[in-house]
This record gives sequence, C-alpha cells and structure tokens, in this order.
Amino acid sequence: MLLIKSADLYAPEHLGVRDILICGGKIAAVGTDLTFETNAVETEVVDAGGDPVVPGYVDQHVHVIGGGGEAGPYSRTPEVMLSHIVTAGVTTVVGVLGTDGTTRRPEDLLAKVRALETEGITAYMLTGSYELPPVSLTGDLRRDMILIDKVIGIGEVAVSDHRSSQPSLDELKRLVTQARVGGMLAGKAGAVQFHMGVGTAGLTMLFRILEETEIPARHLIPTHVNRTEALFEESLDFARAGGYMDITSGIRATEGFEGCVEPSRAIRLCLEREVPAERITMSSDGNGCMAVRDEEGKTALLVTKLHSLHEEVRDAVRKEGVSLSDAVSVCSANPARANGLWPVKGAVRPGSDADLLFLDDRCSIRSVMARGRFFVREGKLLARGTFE
Amino acid sequence: MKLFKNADVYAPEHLGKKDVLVEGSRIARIADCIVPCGDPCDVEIFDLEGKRLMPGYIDLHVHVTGGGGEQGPASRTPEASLAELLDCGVTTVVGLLGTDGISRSLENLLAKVRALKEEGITCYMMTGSYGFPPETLTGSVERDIVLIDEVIGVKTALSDHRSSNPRGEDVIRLATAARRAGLLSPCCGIVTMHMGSGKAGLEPVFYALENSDVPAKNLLPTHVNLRGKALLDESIRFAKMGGVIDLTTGTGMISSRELAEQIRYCVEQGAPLEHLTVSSDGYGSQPRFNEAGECVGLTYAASEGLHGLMRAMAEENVMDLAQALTLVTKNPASVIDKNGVKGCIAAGADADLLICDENFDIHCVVAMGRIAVWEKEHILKGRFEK
Repeated sequence: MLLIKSADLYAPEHLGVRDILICGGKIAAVGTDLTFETNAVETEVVDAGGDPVVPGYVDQHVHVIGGGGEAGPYSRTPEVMLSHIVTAGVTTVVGVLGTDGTTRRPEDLLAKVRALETEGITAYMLTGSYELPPVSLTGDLRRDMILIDKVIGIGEVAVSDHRSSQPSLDELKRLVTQARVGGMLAGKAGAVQFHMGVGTAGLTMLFRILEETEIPARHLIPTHVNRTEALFEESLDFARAGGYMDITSGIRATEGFEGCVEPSRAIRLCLEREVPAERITMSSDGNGCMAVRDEEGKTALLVTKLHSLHEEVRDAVRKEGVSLSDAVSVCSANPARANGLWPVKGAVRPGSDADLLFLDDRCSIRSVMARGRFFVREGKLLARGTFE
Repeated sequence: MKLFKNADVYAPEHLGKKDVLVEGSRIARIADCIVPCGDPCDVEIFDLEGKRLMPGYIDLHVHVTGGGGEQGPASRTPEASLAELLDCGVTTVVGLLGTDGISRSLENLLAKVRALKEEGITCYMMTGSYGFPPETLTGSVERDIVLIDEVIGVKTALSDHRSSNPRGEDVIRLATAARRAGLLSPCCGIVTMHMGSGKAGLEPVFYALENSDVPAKNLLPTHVNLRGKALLDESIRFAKMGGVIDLTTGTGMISSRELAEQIRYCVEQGAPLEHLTVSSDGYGSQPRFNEAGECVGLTYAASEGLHGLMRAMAEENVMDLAQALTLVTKNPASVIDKNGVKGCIAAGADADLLICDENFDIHCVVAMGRIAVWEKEHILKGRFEK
C-alpha cells in the first residue's frame, strides 16, 4: 500500500490538491486528507509536496523492436529498452512496425510487447505494417485482433507516401472494416493508424472513407500530421469531422523536419482552432529512424526518442501557454480513449492502474510510477530491463 | 480490501485458525489476528466463525464449449456456465476440445475462455483435439502456444478408437514442440493425452520417455482410472518415473467412492501423491460403447465431482482433507506451472477461495479477489445468466 499525500492532481482534468491511495497496482482512492492505518499491511507514505501529479503517458506509436532500414541493413534502428521508455514518462506503449514488414515481423513485435509487460509496464501492439496486403500473425488482420490479446488495432498503414503500397480507396475501406469488426468481436477499440507521408494526396482517401462509408470516424487515426503545414491544416478538418489527429512529437525542425509544425505549437493551434480537445493525440514515433543533414549537407541517421513527448508537453505549457491539463491529455487520456484503454489508462481515478508521473515546479519529470511501482524516483532510475 | 476473520485455513496444508487479508485480486497476508482500521479504502470484514477456507479448485479438463457429438449433432453437450463452475467450487479451468474438432473449433474455445475470464474466473486452454496432426489456430502447435496467451499446451488422444492412433514417435514430436513453445511462451507446455481403452495403453508414452529427452512432466495422461486395472497400473508406473497422472471424476461412469478407492490404490502402489491430479472432464459426453463399438448411451456432468471426491475421501478414510485437497489444488497448479499463484492460500497468491460450512457444503466462493458466491447465492454472474 502506498499513500501519496499533497499531490496537485491532474487526472488529467485539474482537481487541485489531493491524496492518492494505491493498492495492488491500482488507484484505490482519491480524496483530501486520506489516512490509512492498519497492522494488516505496510503502508508507505510519499509526500508530493504540492507539485503536479499527472497520468503516465500512453505512447500509441513506438517502434519497440526498432524500425528504419531505409538505407539498408545498417540503418535499422535498435529496439527500445525499458529504461528508455520509463525515463520518458511513458507507462503504456503501443508497438508498431513501419516501412519494413519483411525483416521485422509481427511475431518479434508480440514477443517484445510481452517482454515489456513482464518487465513491469503496459504494452500493446498493432498488426500490419506500411504495406498492403498486410503482414499478419495469423494470415488475417481480423483474426489477429480477435485471437491475440495484445493486438488492439491495425497499423501503421502508409498513405500518401512513396514507401506505401499505393493502396486503393477500396482496399482502405476494407481495412478499416476489418479493424472495426475485429474490434467489436474482440472487445477492443479497433482503430487503424495511418502513416501520413508528404504525398500531395494528403488525407483525401481518409476523408472519402468518412464520406462514402458508415464507418465511425473514431476508427481512423492519421499520424505524423504535423509533418507539413498543408497536412496539418487538413487534419484539423479531419478531427472536426470526428476523426483523430495524431501529432508526432519527434517531428521537429531540430530533428531534420524543415517546414513542419512544431508539436508544442501544433497543440496550441488545435485548441485555438476549435478542434474537439479529445480528438487530439500525440505520440513519439520512438525508435524510428530520422535523417538529419548537418551544416555541410551530410546526412546522419538518428534514432528518435520517446523523450520528445514530454519535452513537447513542457514546451506547450511553458512557451505556448497551453494548460497543463490540456497538454497532458494529448498523450494520456486521449490516446487511451482512442485505443479503448480509458479509464484504466490515461486517468487517475479509483480503479485506474497506478501509472503516475510526478513533476516538479518547472514541469520536469521527477518520478515515474507504473502499475504501482516506482521505476524512476527523484530522477534516479530504479528498474532496468532484463539485459540492461 | 477484504478481510476474512476466524477462518480454519487449509492452504492446502492445515494452518488452523487464521485471518486472511485480500488486497485487489491477491492474498496480501495471513496472520493470527489482523486488525483493520481504514478510512479511505473500505475494508470489508467477513467473520467466518471457524468455517473452513481452502483454495479454489483447479479443473485441468473441462469442455467449456461443450463436447460429445458421438451420436450426431443431437448428442453434442451444452457449454459451461459460470454459475455451474462456481457451484462446483472451481475457480481455474483449462478448456479443451474432445472427439469433435470439426464442428467445435479452437476459435470458439478461445472466445469462450476469454468470456469466462471476463466474467471473473481464471481460464486457460489447450490447442488441438483428439486428432493427430492436431487442429490449430495459427497453423502450428508451437505458434499457438507462443502467440496466444491462453494456450498452455496441446491435447491429443492415445489408444482410443476415436484417436488418430499416434505412435511413440508422434508423441515425441508433439511433446518436443509443446515443450519448446512452453519455454518461449513461457508456460507449462504440456501434452494432455486422452487415454482410451485401446490395446497400446501407455506404450507410446513409455516409448517417448525411453527414446527421447522429453521430460515426463510435459506429458499428462488423463482418464487413466476409467479403462481398467491394466492402464491404471501402467499409469502408476509412469507416476513413479516422474510423470503426473490425471484421474477423472464423473457421475456416469464411476462414483466418488470408487474414485476415492482408486486413489488409495495408487498411493498404496507407490505413486507419489504429488504426482496425482483429479479433473472432471466437465461438459464432455461420457458415452458407453457396447462390445461391437456401438454407442449405447450418453451422459454428461459439470465439475461437481471434484467436491464430491473431497467428501468421499473423508468418508472413506482414504486421507485427511489437507492431503486430499492437493489433488485438485496444489498438484494441478504445479502441472500448469502456477505454483504459489494458484491452488494455495499464501501471501502473494491469487485470491481464489472456497469457504465450506460445517456440513462441508460450499458456502462461498471468491475468484480473483471478488466475491462470486456468498451464502450459496450467486453474486458474480455470466452476462446471460439470471
């Protein structure tokens, strides 16, 4: 048992100073002046000192087994390690494949997802990759969703990108239907994440799915929407039409994306332009590959990090004037809802998993708790993966 | 949090009068006296007044989607219900298919297993059915075990006119695949072998042990007590070699008293008690065949035989309750690699509890920390149960 005293709680809605009681990895109670005395179990008391406590982040787009490979085998990025995830404030990851569905397989992804669960955080996966017809575990995406507990959706399927399979509209309609029906039968959200490239067609196909079918818009999550100004503008309309828009926190000018909309600014613009707040999500695209040109024009390859997620939340609050509640929602409550995980994930209320971030007064992460256990405490890493 | 005071605890070893504290889905603590005084987190207190508290039963062999069909579609038995399993004191089941791997699918079985889990009990499954090569979900036994969380092994049939007559080499291949997948998964990776009354008996199993490196613990012959003395004697030999043998209850073919006597016989013949388990074959048909091999009658039963056996073991003075309980708690937990998690009352174990009154009737059932049955009334219900 763990009692957290005097947290300035963002659940992620701002509740003010609250105490939080944690029991068996779950939030047992949230209230003011909670006390708990018994000889039954040891109760540890942690004083949050009036600093903010927010839900652990749900990062819905992470290449947990690595990605890349677009410049040959040497450019394949490494897999992500537990310490890298938790120090970024992420307590739930959704693993995805990317361009490479040939030397990276969904079987590897599933094994990595199970390993991360064993190490103490929460992990899910999407089935499929950039290409169509898709790669799958069981020969069929709908079967994957129904038979494999960890598969909660489909993606990332590439559209408007030179690395896509140039899918037809009919193919994409069928794909979204598979996600929806698979999700219904499995009791999951059943969303499709679309990798958006720089192609001029932009979101045209996704809009046409909304117009020409009766599939609810919440099943469609275009990601990397802040890649260009034009794509970003389109995605605002898409979210107003009921779809999601997923900002990638790793898409920043400093990481080689000239002409992008900076993620923290994108959050502010979405809110100003009256996009329904719950339709805005942000993910890291962590452990994917980024090509950066140095001053002499040489290209260097970088591994994207999950840490950009919180850096952009912090910038949204400190530089763009977004409220902490709104900023945190885009990578906690909103992606949890999009993936059918809310309110067990992305919320701090009785019955939620005890996934918490403890921030300081400068909005930096001090401590990270996943399923009731501290992985980072006062900046110190307490748990590592099996081979770290 | 739930606090059970003044329980006469069988863990399954007899601990005497204790208080048991449940936190979430787990047992947090067992002590002589636990005093709660909680303000924010309601602690529900249940005074058991000396009633017996024991682990929920583990049933290794339940046709949760129904079985049978040996006399055509009308002989297909109905599927399991949460209420019936709870009434039998069962909180952990392993679901599997039987003779029929055509009109009963593994997909259907997996969905039923998931539904029972959602309803509140613990459920695993076996891939395969009677046939060999086995039916699978993903194209191979190994892939099923590694990729699908609930799949912990494979079922097949040996020495039975309804089997595909697998030979020793087939048992080796199947057990090797299950073992390898079990290591990767990780899970127990066992082969549950339906034993018929065929001439070969356990011969293919002994062949596998003698001609390969498959450990005996990956092989679980079942129904070993239903086919006459020769098979039972062979099975006792297998148990002495380190294997576990599974005996079957069931109202149609054998009474609880007869089963209790069979267990006495096994132990007297030197089979280690910890190598014996008892399962129900619940919802499977128990067909009777005449000498011409024609099916002349069918019955089916739920899992009630497990509790009936516990009662009979006491009445027949076979062994004390603490020892008898191991057959349906600790020993099957060990078979499915859930030592310390299932089948025991211990700090850190899942809170699956049975509470029995002075008449040894099941009074209450707790499954994963939730009150499922209280004073014989169903609290936890399946979605379509009244």
